[in-house]
This record gives sequence, C-alpha cells and structure tokens, in this order.
Amino acid sequence: MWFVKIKSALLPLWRAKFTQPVLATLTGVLLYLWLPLFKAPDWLVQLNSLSRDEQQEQLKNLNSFYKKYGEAALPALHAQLELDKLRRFEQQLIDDNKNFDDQDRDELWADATEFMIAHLTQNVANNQLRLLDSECRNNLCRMVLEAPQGLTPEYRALVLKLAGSLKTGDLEFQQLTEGNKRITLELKSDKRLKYGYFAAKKLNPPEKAQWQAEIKTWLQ
Amino acid sequence: MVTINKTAVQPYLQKAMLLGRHSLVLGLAVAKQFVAWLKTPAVQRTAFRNIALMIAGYLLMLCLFFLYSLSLNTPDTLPEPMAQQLQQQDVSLDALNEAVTRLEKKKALAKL
Repeated sequence: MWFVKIKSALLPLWRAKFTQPVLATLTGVLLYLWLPLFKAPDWLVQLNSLSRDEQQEQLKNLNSFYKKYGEAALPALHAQLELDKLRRFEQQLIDDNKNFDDQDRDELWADATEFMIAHLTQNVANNQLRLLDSECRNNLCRMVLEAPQGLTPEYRALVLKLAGSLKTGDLEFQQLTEGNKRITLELKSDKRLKYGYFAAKKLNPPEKAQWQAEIKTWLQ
Repeated sequence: MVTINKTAVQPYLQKAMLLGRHSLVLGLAVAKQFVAWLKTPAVQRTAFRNIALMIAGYLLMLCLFFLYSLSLNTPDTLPEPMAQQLQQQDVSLDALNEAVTRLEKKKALAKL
C-alpha cells in the first residue's frame, strides 16, 4: 500500500538525528522571512542593484525636489510617504471587498437599505414586482425578483423604473443575472466601506492628523 | 421574522448538549494525556532544544539581514539630510517618486 510505503520511507528520515534540529532552525528562518524584525529599506536595496547612471536617473525627481525646497520640505515628504502608505492600504481593502461574497455586513446600513429596497419594490411598481429576497453587506446589495415570464419588455420597463428610484437612494445597478423564473440584481452604493476594528485602527493612526498638518504647514 | 418553536428544537438541543458534553470529556482526556506527555523529561529536552534552535534560526537571519544592510551604500548623489530622512522609510523607489510628485502638485495647487 502506498501509505505504508511512504511511511516506511519517511519514518527513518524523521527519526534521524538531524531532521528535527534542521526543521526547527528552518522554521526560525522562515519565521524571520515572514515577520522580519529588521530589514534594509526597499529603495536602498533597489538602488544598490543599479549602476551609477541609473541611480541618478531614478533619483532625479528627489534631487530636484530637494534642490527646490531644501531641508524644510523633508518633514512634509515624510508625512506624504506615510499618508501614501495609508492610501495604498485602503486601496487594498477596497480591492479585497470588491465582490459581494467577500464583504462583511455593515449592520446599520444593511438593515436600513434592505428596508428601503423592500419599500421601493413594493411601491414604485404598484406591487407588480415581487421581491423574493434581498441582502445587503458593506456597500453591495443583492436582490432577487420574481420573473415568471422571464425578462419581457414590460418586465424590463418595470425593473428600469425601480432602478431609477433606487438610484435616488444611492444604489446603482451593477449586474443582472437571469435565473429560473427569477432575476438577481446586484446593486452598489457610493458609501464608504466599513472596516473591521484592526483595519480601521490601522487606517486611522493617531499620527494621521499630525502628518496632514505637516503638509499643510509646508504648503503655506 | 421566524419564531423558534421551543418544543420542536428541544430534541436537537438535547442531542447537541450530549454531544458537547462528550466532546468536552474527550478534549479534557486528550489535554491530560498531552500534558503528561509534555512532562516526560526526554520530550521536554527535545522541545527545549527545538525551540532554542528555532530562536537561533531567527536570530541568524536577523544578523544576516543586518550585515547585508551594512553592506549597502547610500548613493552619494542623494543629499545627506534626505538620505537620513529616507533611511527610516521602508518604501520602494516608485513610492518615493510618487510622493514627491504628489507634493509638487499640491504645492502648485496651493500657489494658485
């Protein structure tokens, strides 16, 4: 049997004196690569792999900036770099929340929006549209409408009428999927995403106001 | 809103509680065995040695990274105060250039 074969091949190796110490050391090495305590700045590592001419080319902007504004601009540069890091992190969060299935539920907004969707579906089309299900998460909503005849021109007109009303409530149609006697609509809101505790804390560090103030001071 | 019928849920609840109690007893027994196994001197010796080697591997990498960073030279074309300021920033060259461009644009807008 294959399992016994693998076991008989691996067991002596596992019991060998060197295996466990090597694995333990390797774990420590990998742990450092995952959570490094210290590493040289990326830009310095990148510059060291370039020739002198290429270095000058890459540093052209920085040098001309320094020549123009002098040392007084350095705190602003530091602040801008920190704010850029936050911006990139937020962009990554937005990308992570791009799909409905990836989103967590923002309870207050989701409850209110589901209520609004139910109300509008009932009233806008004079009870001609039947809402089977609706679910909202962070800035996306999914609603399922009954469509016994499929997407007929009359039905399409009703859905478009509903779309117009939902748009006034800051919900824009993003995707329509036709199913068996039903259609699924995905709606997107312009609302700012609500993040978890740690992400929100990382996104709004106490120093953020100070960085913004430093840039403002330099601009004056 | 769905109202939970307590009578209908009762048998499932009883089964779940029974299962929970069994899992707890089993978990405690396994934990007890594990602690007893950990208290064996030979196991403790091996565990301490492996933990020590893991820390050694981590520290070895720290030393290697530190020595590598010492071997990196700050380009002499970059002004000293700026190099010192950027030394604290673990960002790429693209990010540095982007930050400078953003600041320049902001300055130009502020002048308007």
